[in-house]
Amino acid sequence: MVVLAGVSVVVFALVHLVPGDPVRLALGTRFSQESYDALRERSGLDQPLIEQFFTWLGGAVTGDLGVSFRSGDTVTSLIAERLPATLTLAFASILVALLIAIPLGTVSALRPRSVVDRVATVISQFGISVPDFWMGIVLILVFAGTLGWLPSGGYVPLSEDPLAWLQRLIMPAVVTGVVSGSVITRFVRSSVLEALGSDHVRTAQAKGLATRQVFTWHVLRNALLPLVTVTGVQLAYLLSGVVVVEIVFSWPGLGQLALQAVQARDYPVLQGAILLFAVVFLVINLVVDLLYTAIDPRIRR
Amino acid sequence: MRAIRPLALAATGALALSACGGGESVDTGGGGGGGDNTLVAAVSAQPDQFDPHVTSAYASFQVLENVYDTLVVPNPEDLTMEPSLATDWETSEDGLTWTFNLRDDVTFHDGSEFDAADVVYSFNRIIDEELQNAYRFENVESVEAVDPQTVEITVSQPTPNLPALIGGFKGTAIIPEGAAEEYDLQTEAVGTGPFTLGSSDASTTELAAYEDYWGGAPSIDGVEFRYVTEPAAALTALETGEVQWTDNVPPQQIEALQGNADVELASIPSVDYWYMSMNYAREPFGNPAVRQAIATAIDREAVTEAARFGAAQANQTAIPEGNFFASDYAPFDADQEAARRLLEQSGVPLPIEMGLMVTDEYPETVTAAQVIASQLQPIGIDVEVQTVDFATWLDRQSEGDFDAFMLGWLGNLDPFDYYHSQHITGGVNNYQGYSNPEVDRLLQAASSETDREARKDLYDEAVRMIVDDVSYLYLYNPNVVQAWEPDLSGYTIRPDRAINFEDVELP
Repeated sequence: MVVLAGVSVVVFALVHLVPGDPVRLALGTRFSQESYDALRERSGLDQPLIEQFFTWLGGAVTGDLGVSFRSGDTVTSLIAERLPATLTLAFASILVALLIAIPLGTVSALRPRSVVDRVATVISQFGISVPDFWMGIVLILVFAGTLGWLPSGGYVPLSEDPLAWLQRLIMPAVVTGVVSGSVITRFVRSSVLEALGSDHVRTAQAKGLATRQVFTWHVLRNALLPLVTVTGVQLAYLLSGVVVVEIVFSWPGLGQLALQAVQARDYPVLQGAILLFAVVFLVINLVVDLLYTAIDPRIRR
Repeated sequence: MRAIRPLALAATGALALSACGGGESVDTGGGGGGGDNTLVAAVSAQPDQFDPHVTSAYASFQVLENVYDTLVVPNPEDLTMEPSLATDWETSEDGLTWTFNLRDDVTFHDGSEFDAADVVYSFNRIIDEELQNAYRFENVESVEAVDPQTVEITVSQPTPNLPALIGGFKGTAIIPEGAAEEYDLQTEAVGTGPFTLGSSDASTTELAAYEDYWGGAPSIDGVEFRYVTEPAAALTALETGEVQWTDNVPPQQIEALQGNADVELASIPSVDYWYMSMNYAREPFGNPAVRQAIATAIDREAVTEAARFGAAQANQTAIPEGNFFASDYAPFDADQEAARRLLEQSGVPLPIEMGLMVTDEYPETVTAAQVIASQLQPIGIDVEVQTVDFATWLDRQSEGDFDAFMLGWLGNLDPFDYYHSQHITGGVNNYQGYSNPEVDRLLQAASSETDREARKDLYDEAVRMIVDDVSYLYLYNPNVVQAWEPDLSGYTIRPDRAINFEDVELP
């Protein structure tokens, strides 16, 4: 709660510090001074900043995040409208990422400096350095254009048409999943390597335990801790919207909403979105901490 | 009409077969769209809201064009004003009273009948609440209903461009009396147009044909606007048949698309113009010789080619060729030697540092600025291209915090739109600070001159001075570029970028 209060002050200050006048942006290039004054008054921007802050905070406490300058919709409804798409993409991407990272990272850790390891390094380096918009456009051109296997973009709710939902989810999830997966692969590799070299693993091996048992009980379990941390960070990042991928695949997520809000200097939407991202980070940190204690009983003490 | 349907259908069958040759076809109708007879259009942005009197977003007007009507409307070819909700109109001898006779067979989408009271209400709403387009009613003293079929507009001075002001686009749409109180116009629409507004979310906006439309119900069942920001995705969707129409065509693709049998491409001159402007209050740009040297050094053809890949016409004035009011004045000939001499004669110490402000909101300005910078460098002007976001750009423009900037004026109909507020002393859009009493006199006279020929002469004379003084340094008129499926018929691409699907037919 204390953190949130601090966050809300910072959010409000940051948003209002950014240069740019939302009223001028809303009116475009042709308008009269009278129209400008009238709209400024209607949007409450003529009030002193401190007053605007307390009005907003008062609402935010009761779950009312205000009304968008651009559309006149409530900020909560705008966010709620885009939340399912963002959640879908974030979790699908994490799934893809883990499916790539865990096998790839483990295999390359078990055979360090082997051909497999080198190939894995190259793949993860590729995933990190290739721009996601480029990867997205190539996928569209190949799988939607040339092959015609998948639609070029868009979003359909799962409840409406599960097949259409899945078809449209594959490409964006692969692009973000490859990027996140490449990052996570590195962590998996180094943490498995570290666990392999630790004393208790050597002890276990010395006791004569089967390799398989050593691996699942002593190596993987220890390597899990850093994996949970980095996965949590990646998930938080994905949940705050992946703007570029959303734009390339016409995916109506929170990233696009935040971008539009920045461009229009739509303060209420921007504040709402940033506040939500802050909450997401806090919650995920909490969950990661809880998972720690579940995985490693020593932390509980 | 019905007789040719089977033929058209057969043709489509063949096309669909060839289009799917590359792989298995996918279910493309799953986007929540309507039936087979719904047109799916890929547009590049989501409408911000649907109140025609409030929004200024092009994405909104793409939709609203099909939902609302105005009293008069620009003709699709030459953009002269023609009847819409008004059947005809006349001006009094002194030019101060305009009388519009209205159609008597029009109903709004909520079933109510359209009459003069709705016009009075709509216009007064814009005027009284100082909404976005209030400036268009600057000269209007009153809007009155003489009888249910007649509206009288009184103006303070002859206003020959009144039809363009009240009917140029759907920002002055007619809504039913009391609609602003009765409906949430930001999300609902109650127009008289060929389509009604259905649902709208973060992915699509859907329209349905209005059966009681006064112009006859459209042949298609509806329109689904899909927001596809990435041009490569929009083109792919068009080629695979996911969408049937798009305006999201990158200029660099035009040539490749012209040879593509799966796509019908249209590229026609628009009414927009792009220009560069220098700050008179910042030395040495207040010096006419410096501005003229810059205007002489710039090779407009090269700038146009770089910024628009040829889908534009270089121009030294604002109004595109072919328009009645166009001027053929072109005094500058991209001569760096002459430009250098002009600079030498001016005695201004070289090199001159110039910040050229552009915005990534319009990427073509960034490209053009880079070309301009390279063209000015040899004559001793060091251009620093300053790319900022549009919000910052607008702030700096209005605060006069710039050496020079580049931008465009879009959707111009009347010469008044092209020249007036940009060049008259103290004009709301005269950010450069230009002031020439003779130009003021000519622009004022032209704004109230009712004789078309005489009006053109006045503008011609003003434009020569504006160009010579380099109040604006005109660069080019871009094309409107749109693409659609070859078997879509009845669609007309318009120079004002209005998107009208009323007469579209799908096979």
